[in-house]
Amino acid sequence: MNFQRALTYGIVILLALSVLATGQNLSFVASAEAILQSKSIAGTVPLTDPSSQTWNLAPVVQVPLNPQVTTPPMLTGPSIRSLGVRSVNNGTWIAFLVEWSDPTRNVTTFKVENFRDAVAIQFPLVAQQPFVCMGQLGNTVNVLHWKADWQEDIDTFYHDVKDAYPNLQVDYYPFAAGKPPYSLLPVANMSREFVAGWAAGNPLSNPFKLTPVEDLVAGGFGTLTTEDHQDAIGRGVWQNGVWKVVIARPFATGDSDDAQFAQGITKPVAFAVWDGGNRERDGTKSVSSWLTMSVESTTQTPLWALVALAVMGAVTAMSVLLLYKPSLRTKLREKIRLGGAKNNPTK
Amino acid sequence: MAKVRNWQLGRDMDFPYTAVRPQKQFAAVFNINRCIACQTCTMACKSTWTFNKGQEAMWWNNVETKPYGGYPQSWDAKTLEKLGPQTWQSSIYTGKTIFEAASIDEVAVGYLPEDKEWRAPNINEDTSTTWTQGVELTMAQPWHRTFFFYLQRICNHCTYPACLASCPRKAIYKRPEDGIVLIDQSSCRGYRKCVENCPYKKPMYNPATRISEKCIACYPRIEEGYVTRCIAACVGKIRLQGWIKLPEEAVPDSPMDYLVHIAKIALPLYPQFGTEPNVYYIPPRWVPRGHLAQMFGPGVEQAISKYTNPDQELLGLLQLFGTTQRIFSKFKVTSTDAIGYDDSGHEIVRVPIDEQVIIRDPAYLNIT
Repeated sequence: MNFQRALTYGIVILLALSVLATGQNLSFVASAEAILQSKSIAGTVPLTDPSSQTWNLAPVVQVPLNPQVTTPPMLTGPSIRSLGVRSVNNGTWIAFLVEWSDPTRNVTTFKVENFRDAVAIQFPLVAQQPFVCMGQLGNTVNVLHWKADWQEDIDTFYHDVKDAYPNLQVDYYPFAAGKPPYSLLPVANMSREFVAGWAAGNPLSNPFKLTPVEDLVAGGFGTLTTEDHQDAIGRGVWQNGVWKVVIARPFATGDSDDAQFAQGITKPVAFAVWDGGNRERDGTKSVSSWLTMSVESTTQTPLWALVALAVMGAVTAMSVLLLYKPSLRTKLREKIRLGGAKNNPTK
Repeated sequence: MAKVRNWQLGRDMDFPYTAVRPQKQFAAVFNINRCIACQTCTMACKSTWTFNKGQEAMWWNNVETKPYGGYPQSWDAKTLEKLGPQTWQSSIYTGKTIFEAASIDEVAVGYLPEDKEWRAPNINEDTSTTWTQGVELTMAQPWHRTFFFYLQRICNHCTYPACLASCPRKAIYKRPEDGIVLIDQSSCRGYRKCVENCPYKKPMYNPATRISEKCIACYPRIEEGYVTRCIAACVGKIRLQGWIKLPEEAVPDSPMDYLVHIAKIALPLYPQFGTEPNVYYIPPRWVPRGHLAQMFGPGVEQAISKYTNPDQELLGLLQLFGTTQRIFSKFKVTSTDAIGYDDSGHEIVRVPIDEQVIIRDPAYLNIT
């Protein structure tokens, strides 16, 4: 097979593969720049499955992290330095898979020195980019915060002092049901009144966790507030020193404190992660700067795809001509030879 | 950082917020000399506020044996170590406060005591210092070589609370009406910066609710004019509660102002921390002065001297400790009686300075 024929077959095979790949939503190349593409998929979004094959359809973006040193309490010293992030959507739901290395699995908070692993995604609630650290007054942000201890409560039921100290002896808790070691659950209604944080309506103190992802709004340091409407779900799994956490949300929630999504839009997004083993909480965390997220559309073909198709068509037509028009082929060969001679002064 | 005035240090100091003093400031005087460590105060608090899930190791009021006891263990020594040299020039503190010694990544120096440090609240009970000389008492010194004493501890409801300053959520607030410092249970997110930065270690983490709690100065009682449970329950009558003002605004017939600013027998605990704590202690007479000076500042000698030789007014006021559940804001001492009055001048309590001795008629002797 001569050079021209090999070239032509090569081009045709590549084209065929490209067309196939486009049809199968496969991506060969991960995004090198910090643009997070939320891949449009047909069918179900893996809302609570970090190991779903569907995630392989989306490109991974490596998000670099820096220690938070804007306001105390700050993070000093080494900690988690990057996250792998993917996103998929199906026009109704959008989900993110966040992965990072963490040798310690910190999922309990029942001792004063226990802090949880956690990860958060932040979106602006205004058109412009608010201050990346929790936004500002009037430039608010929506935060979706996954907590390892909430996940543990959901996976293996509520944990408290009895898990830290199985042999702890307490004679009596008012209105507690059952036998020692008493659990907060099940409880008589009155017992809640004696559990201050729960009685005050603090979502952290509520032993009945429905989701490991808290939906919050913030407008500056210290203003993080649990939203009345909780719209996020997800699931995190730690295996072999790696956390894989899914955080998912419906596109539209009808809540003015939530970021709203639609196919074809771009939106700034930022990430933060906490290593509980390093006693990280609150501002003691690793943070990213704002990235751009583009939500891929299924209904509209984007401009770059049209251009790519046109180029592919032209190349295909050229290949066919080269294969079946020997005169043209000879002319082209002549041109290549002459050009080669021109560029090589030794000939 | 703002500059605020801390009268206990005799100077201005750095604090993250500007100074706003409350209309009234909760205060209490604890007379260490009278305490027998019966822990009735501790149980009164426990049975009122901290009897539920997650509060098993939580003691908002505790009585520890000094110098070795501590709840949490070695809380004071650990913080003092972080503070560096604590020097005074007469009544002006020339060392650094916990706010001034802090690095840029924190609001105040502190540490987070681990779970095990909270688990033995009465560790080293009645443990005295070592008897080194073979002679316990010397004629030259009025104090004992071998000593221990009881330290009664609640939240100090500081004028410049480190818990409040370090809370990144501003979930801790100081009430303008009475200066009581509270953790808002609905907005605390369990970061434990208050546990880490309060030098007295009085905010505590609740592992069941996963947020922090602290002494609330029995505010529902105070709002009704009653003293806190720990103060009401004290069988040794060592405690007196009232309202304190700045030294230059001291009212002579206010019990707190009299004891702290006028008689100067009651001193703040570790004033060098810089939080301007509002529980004041009458230092124990039998303890080496150097030890007391480190704990209560430069006023120790004078306080003990005055307490040892009280005048009629001081003697009368000391008799009023623990005599009523009501808060009395004014007092008067006559030649025979000590009297406490409420805000509107109504008499609440009256006690004789010298108790009347009644000798029973032999006809009625209780002999069987």
